[in-house]
Amino acid sequence: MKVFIDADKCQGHARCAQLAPEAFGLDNEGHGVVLSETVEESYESVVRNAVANCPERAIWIE
Amino acid sequence: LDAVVTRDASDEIDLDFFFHHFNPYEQTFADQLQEAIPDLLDRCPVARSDDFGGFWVVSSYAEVMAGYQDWRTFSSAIEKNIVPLRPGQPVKPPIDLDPPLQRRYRQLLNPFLTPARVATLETHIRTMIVDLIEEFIDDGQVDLARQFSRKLPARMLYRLLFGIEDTDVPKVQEWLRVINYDPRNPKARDCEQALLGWIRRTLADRRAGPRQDDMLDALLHADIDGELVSEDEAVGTVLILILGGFGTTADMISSVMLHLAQREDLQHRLRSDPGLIPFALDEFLRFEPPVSGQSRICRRDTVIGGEEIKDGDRVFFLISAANRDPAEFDQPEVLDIDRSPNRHLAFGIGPHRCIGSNVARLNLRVSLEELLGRTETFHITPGERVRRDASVAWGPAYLPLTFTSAPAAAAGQDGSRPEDGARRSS
Repeated sequence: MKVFIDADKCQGHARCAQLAPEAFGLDNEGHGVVLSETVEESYESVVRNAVANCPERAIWIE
Repeated sequence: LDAVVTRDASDEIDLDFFFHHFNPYEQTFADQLQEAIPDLLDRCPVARSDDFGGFWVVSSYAEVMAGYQDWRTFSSAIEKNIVPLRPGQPVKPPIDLDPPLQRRYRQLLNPFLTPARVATLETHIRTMIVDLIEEFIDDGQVDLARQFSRKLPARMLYRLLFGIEDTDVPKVQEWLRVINYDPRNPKARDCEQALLGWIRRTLADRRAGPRQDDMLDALLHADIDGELVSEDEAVGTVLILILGGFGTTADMISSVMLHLAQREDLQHRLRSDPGLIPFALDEFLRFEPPVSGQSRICRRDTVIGGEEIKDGDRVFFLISAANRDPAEFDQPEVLDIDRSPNRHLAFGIGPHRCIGSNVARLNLRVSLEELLGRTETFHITPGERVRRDASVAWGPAYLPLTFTSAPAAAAGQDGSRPEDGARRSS
């Protein structure tokens, strides 16, 4: 599984970093960044949870 | 929420008001909004109010989200306001601007308000919170709105974010009260001018003083597209930081405590597992967003829910209703702290997402940790009526609670750190 953030859509709600700190960090402005594009299997469920809770619908998985 | 704690149960919901004469500054709005929301969503998701010269009220989650995200169609220019502009009313960057200029201000200010940056304030904030609680903990009764919720964010904002003393808070608070809750009062203009004068003096003091690594200095010395931020722009920016930072967090703390006061089961659950608090907060934010909505001005003809919205029309996007839309949330009328997903819009959505959301989250979390940790139980004082003031802002203005303090409160006074306990069990 791979995970991506659309930087134009992200507005810094920071929900992803709160719900899945294993997979997401925040940049200098507090906007979400993917720590590793390829998601370790053990993190897949928390990443899906972060995707489902992003208000801007800025995160997607492939 | 038990409706009778805020109004007479015998009062009928005035749907005509919500469908045709919607006005956030009427007491009907403050008393009946939450109960009117299911009918608004179901029967009138795009309402037309005849107040303030006429404006639209949009309620559904999908349309509220789309409206806030589509800043090209729905502009934030100051003409968006449903309350008529007062002479001399300043433009407040970034909230009264559209991208790309709006974005430049956010790039300037956001770094001071990230979760990591505000985390450095936690110890100070906890001390302020504990100090406020100590003032009433032995009394057994408190008006939590006046004695706690409304004191904390002001103190925090001045001392920690602006780096100045908070001796002027009482008079600033009174100006803000008139501006926020009574905008049609003839005195509102004078209050606004007094507040602007106070901000100008504060900024002049900071310009004359040593350089500090904080938001005010970032603003005073900023370079936006090759130009310094002007005096008026700096004043307008500080004005919105104050307007946005004072009342909203206070209202939210009181709203959460109002619900917990009626739900001993939730009090117990959060006391025994404080690690749940940050997640429970999102459900409280969904259920009682402290900003009921914001307006925009339409810049090109469009259609929402079958209604033709014209270039120049003003639209009020009702976050309180969107947060209870069954198309987005299962059983929206149920307060469920385990709800997931929970993509509530309490902090807004799109480029104007609340700039202080991380500060608010920190204040809320630590307030709840300490208020729950230092009480054994609390409830609404029998015979008392909780009161809300009419405003776009939403929260209890009077919150009479009766409580039993926890033995642990004594431990807090002898120098131990109650937050350590909260952490361990999380």
